[in-house]
Amino acid sequence: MTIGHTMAAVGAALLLGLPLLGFLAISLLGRRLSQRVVRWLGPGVVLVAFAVVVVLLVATLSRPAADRSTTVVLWQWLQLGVPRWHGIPGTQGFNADFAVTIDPLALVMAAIITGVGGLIHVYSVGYMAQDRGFNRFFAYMNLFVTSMLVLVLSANLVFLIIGWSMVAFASYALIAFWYERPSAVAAGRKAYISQVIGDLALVLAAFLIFINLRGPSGRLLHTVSLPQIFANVGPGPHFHAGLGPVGGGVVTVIGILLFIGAAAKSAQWPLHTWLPDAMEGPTPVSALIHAATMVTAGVYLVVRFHPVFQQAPVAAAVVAAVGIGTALMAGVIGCTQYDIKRVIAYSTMSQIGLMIFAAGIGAYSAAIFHLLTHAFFKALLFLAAGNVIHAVGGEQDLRRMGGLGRRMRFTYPAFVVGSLALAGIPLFSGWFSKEELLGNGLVLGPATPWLWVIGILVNVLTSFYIFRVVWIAFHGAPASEAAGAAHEAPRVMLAPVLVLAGLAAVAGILNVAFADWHPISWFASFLRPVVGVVRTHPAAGADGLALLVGTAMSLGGLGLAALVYQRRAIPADLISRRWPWLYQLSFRKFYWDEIYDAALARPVLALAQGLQRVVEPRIFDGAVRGVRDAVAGLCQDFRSFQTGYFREYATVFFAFAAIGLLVLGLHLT
Amino acid sequence: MNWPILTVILLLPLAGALAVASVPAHRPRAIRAVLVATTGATLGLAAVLLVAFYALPNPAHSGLSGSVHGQSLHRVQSPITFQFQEQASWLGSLNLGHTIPTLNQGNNQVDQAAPPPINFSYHLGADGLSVWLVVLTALLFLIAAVAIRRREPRLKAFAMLMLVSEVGVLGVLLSLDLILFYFFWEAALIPLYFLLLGFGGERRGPAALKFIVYTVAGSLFMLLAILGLYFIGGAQTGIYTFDLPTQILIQAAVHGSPPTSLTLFGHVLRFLTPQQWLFLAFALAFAIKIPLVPLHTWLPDAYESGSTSFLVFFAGIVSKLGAFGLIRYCLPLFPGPSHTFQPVLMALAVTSILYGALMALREVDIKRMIGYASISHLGFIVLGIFALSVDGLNGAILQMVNHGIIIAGLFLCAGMLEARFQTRDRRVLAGLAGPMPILAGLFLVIALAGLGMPLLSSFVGEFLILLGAFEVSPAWAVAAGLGTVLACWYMLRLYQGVMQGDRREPRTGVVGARDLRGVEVALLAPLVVLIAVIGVYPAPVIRDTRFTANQYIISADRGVVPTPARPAGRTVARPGADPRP
Repeated sequence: MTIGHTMAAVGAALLLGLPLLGFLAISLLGRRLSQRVVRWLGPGVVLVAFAVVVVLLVATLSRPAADRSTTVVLWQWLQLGVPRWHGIPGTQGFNADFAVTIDPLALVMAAIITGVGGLIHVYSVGYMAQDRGFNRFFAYMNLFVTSMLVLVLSANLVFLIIGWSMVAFASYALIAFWYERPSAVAAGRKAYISQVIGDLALVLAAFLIFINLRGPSGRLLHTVSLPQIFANVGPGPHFHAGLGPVGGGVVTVIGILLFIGAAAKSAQWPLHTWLPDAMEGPTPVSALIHAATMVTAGVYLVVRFHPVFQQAPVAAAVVAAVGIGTALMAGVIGCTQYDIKRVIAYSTMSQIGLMIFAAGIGAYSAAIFHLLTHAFFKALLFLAAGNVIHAVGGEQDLRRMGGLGRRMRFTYPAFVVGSLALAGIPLFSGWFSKEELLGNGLVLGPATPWLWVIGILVNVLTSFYIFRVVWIAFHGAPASEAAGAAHEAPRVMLAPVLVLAGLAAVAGILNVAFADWHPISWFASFLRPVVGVVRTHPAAGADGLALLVGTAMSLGGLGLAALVYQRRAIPADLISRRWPWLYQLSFRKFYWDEIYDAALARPVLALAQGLQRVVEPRIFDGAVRGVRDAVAGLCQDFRSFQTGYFREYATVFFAFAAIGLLVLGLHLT
Repeated sequence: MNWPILTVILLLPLAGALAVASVPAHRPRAIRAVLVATTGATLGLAAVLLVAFYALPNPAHSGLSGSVHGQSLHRVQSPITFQFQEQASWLGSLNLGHTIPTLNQGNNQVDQAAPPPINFSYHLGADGLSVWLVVLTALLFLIAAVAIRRREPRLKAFAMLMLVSEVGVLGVLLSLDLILFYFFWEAALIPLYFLLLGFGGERRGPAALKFIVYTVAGSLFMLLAILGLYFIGGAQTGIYTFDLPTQILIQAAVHGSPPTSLTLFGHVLRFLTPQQWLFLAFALAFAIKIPLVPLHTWLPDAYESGSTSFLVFFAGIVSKLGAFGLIRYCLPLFPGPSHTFQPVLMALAVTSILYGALMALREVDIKRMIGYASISHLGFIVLGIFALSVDGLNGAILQMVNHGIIIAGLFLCAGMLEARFQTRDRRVLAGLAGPMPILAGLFLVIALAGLGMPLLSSFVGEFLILLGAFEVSPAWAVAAGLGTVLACWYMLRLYQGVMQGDRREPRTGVVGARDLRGVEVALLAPLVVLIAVIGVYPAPVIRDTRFTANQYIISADRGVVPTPARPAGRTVARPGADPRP
């Protein structure tokens, strides 16, 4: 017995229905709904949904570990198959139900989405209070939460893809929220198109699974139901069972396609360029979408599909390598940016790279645990940054801040807590999760321990760039009038920040291994029914070594930042003077925007222009005109014969008659 | 159903046209009332037809097996089941009500002793494919009737031509006789030509000429093919008939048997079989109507010049007739050639998808842009049809309905913009979401449906079409999938260009933006609701269509089964065996 189908169905319906109701009510009623109502309705539905998640969590925890997963079908979406009937052959067609799974992984994700999301909704009440699009904002935010919940609860690959694309749209709408700004509009479009590329990859992966997946007996299953896929994906007694042998071509391609989808959503190289631009959206959007939820969907996808990746070691290695590479690249870029939100955005990209890396090497619960703590401290950082931006009148440039620590008595310590957690300073939540993740990296995955070495380099960069922000923005003298006149944020914006600060500080305790009374850590054991445990037991002492070195590196980065920006013992422009190319590479974000523009966008537009200017008028229409002119010309030629004079007709008649007779005569003789 | 519902559906718009004719031209309100009442009543009847179709027990399951007239049609199963059949002889005095069994009455045996069916009869019927298209047609004509611009100077002529073309379109969907089909095909075409010529924009003359020349050329080939089918099928089996179900049986029987030597096909045209020639002629006519690249150049001109109300049904339903023809005529009549030419048609479909999308990307005239987008979307439909699989065909049928709704919505939006700002240039418009939130919201849903957003209608269709194409070869699906990425790009360019951005910029010509009136909302709202409903819950639409789709696939699948006489498709010369007796 599981948590009960009725409970799961009602819970899922409430979870999905509440934010959807909020979205429909706000968007359909529009301006007829006053801001006072929306202020309660928008965050309210999400917070009630969070309460539902808590109830489901408690109910799940009260069950034995083996019975913590329930799948219910909400409605039948498509049913194309036709049974054989009275001699007419039937056909196997595509089938998909809207089914949801309530299991520990889905609940953890749902808790983040509704919990952190709810706090961000509350924060937005203050942040967006003066905006003309207040109602529209909450409509989109509720739609986003709905979409994200569809994504994580879905027990069907098609509905996972549907949630996946709905998230893309909601994110587009929120990024381009200030639609009168051309830069926001362009950023939204870029994000959406990147997402659609990822969607396409997922759709192709779904096709491959649908066509190739076989049951243990070797029979084709023709299914897109996730429980069925995961139950059958491994090799079975039959030669062709599952998706073929481990490391086979089909399963590897599926793994790569899934990862392309994940990379688009999680802003991993090579589909990462949209994320920094997405900072054009309002700051709560950045906190909700580009820190806590949407960008982590790629991690969720890889972890959810771990049975597939376990069959495809090459794809998993690609995942790990791309993840750690993106982490390093984003870390390098983050060190030189001046827009406070972009620094945090690159930091997100980098941290998600680490999670993807962990998911690639098989440390699934470590990846999800880092996802959880990251949701706390990164949402905190974004919201605190939002307070800062709010305080200095919309300014986002670090160089025009400074000295804010004295004026923002609550935001400042909260931002520092977030930075300490992000940097992985001991006893803050990020330390627990990141060191666990990196510790696994030392012994697992491809090319050990070299990816781990990159990982601890990322540690240095992380604490360096985030404390660079702390010192530039909050210390020193105000660099602008606005910074001098800064004020603390209103209470409705402070409360969520402080709650998140508390969580960012202590959430690490969730995964402490109390060795005396529990064999493995609590969070990992909760996820265990879904993701299992780490495949290889870490070598003795490796944990300790990794922890020591990793922590030292984080502290080193912090110290370096202190030397450069507080003590000024090292000039800040050292790199830019010594190695200008390195500085430029980082400052220009490795030129990916320029590369894509030159290699993709421009050629496509040029091709389209060529078709429009040459092919369409000259060739396709030209052929038509040619035929028309030929026919018209022929008519013109014949018209000249129609003179109306009898004598000419007679001449022609007799001429032809003579020729005919001549030919006949020659023929006869 | 004991009354001839299909005939009533056909006659209703015709009666409406006569009623309009009797109203004096200086009473536009009365003309509008008659027009809306007629199209509304047609929609009501279409809904009745749909409900009746869904109420049938085991729809499409009552198969036909047996033999026809002692000819070698043993154990041939009737591939397609047509419901609500009505048949009346037209020429000659034979009453065929008894000899051709109504297939849904449980009489599954063709009477052995029956006289041969006459050549040509008034024969109507509906299947899961056509019922939905009939409903779509009726809906779009009603919306078009409401959408006629105010102060239309020649309202009476417009209304009459519109109703006559509705008769034609419905006739194409409902007729089960090749000559009748051809008659309705042309009957739909001629009023459309005059509607384009008489009521269009500034470049309507050349556009109308191009349209009529293109389609008449296509029709000509189709007429030849219909005659060819009649004589070749007749020569092979002794049954000369224009009756579609019978002709399908004949083609099922002769498929795989050696072709009769006919003088026409004797020497010159020998490198293809007669069936292949006929298939190509039909496919050409349908490909022009759809249109497929490279036969598409009439479309942007026509869409640019057409009036909004005209475009709602012209773009919404007429382009579907080509796709309908491919399914209804090409697949069951020519199973072998359908498989032989599958790669050709899939290649043309993918070309259309990508070419249309790229052209839409650059086009600045909103109506032309929607036209190119439409070419791209119709490419998807053809791709789904010629995937020749259940998934692809279901997707194509669903997508035909979806596309009709979406394209009508897009043209309504474009028309509302044009009526307000006297421009179709998307670069001149900007930032309209501020002053026009209702239009922005409705337009957004329609545009998102156009780019294949999930939980909106066209996602389902495109997903199934891509799946069908993927089953043939992943390369098709990947190439067509790129079309969806481009669709996202051009749709966002359109929507963002018009609705977002800064409207106070000097280049924009946005003055006096006024949001939608109630009647305008009423035009778009049903389309938007349908888009959302089909997207969220497509199962009811597909519930019975899938049986029909299955039958079409089964009938087309005869083309892949090698028969003892000869492999399917192209003639293979075998040493020592003359393929022709």
